[in-house]
Amino acid sequence: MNALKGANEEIREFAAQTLSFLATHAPRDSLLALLESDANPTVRLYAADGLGAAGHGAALAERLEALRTLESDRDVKKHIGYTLSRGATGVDPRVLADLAGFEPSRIDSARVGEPAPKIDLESYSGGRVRLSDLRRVAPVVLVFLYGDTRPVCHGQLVQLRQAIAENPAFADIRVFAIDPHERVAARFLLGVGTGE
Amino acid sequence: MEPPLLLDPSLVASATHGVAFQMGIYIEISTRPATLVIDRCGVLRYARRVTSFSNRPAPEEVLRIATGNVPPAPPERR
Repeated sequence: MNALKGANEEIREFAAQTLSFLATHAPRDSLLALLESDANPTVRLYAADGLGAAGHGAALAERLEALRTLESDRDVKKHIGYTLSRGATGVDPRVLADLAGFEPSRIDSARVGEPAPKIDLESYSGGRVRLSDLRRVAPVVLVFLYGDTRPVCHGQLVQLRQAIAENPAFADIRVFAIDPHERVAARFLLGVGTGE
Repeated sequence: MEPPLLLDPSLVASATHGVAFQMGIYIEISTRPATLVIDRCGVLRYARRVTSFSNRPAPEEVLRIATGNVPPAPPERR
């Protein structure tokens, strides 16, 4: 909270982002005060995220609706909406468990020429995928998506699939797409992307 | 058939690969677009992390690197 009182906007934005990650431990009234009156929209956005992650959306619904009406920044408006839609639920306990077990030194640790970091994720179609299980079986291409935009995000996967189908030399390569958002994944696979 | 889609709701995979929460997008959370290649021995052979969703490597280039039939890529510019 002290870092948010400084004059350096980058530090203030980073502090607000960190606070949103730690939302369940952040004081509700401090987050609300940031959302109500901070001049920096990025700080307001993360304050809204923090309130949502901690499940304050239901108790503060009336106040948040009023703030959303007054809010001038389009992104902050949307994130207040996410906070309202989370209601009293807050962050999924599975996400909190993942974060509790995450060693910060792993952040940005993937380097070309070095052993790839372990990946162990749930597949949208069911089951878990551990990339270590594929070693010595197949080379792997990982595509971190940006969203459900067509034709670009979806198009990259379609082009990879076509190139693999057309060239026997690529036949054993495994491609995985990774996205944080189940809602995006669903729209993506149903082929109803935004078209942007 | 689409490539399998893996879910990373806590962003631990994208944070590990240096692409978490680094772009604004009109959904709740997102990652930087990135394409990576891991060889059969589990070594990261290629990483392209970009800042524009429309900036994607050519599929043939990525797949040739995945087969191991190309020289190592130059250091990534980030």
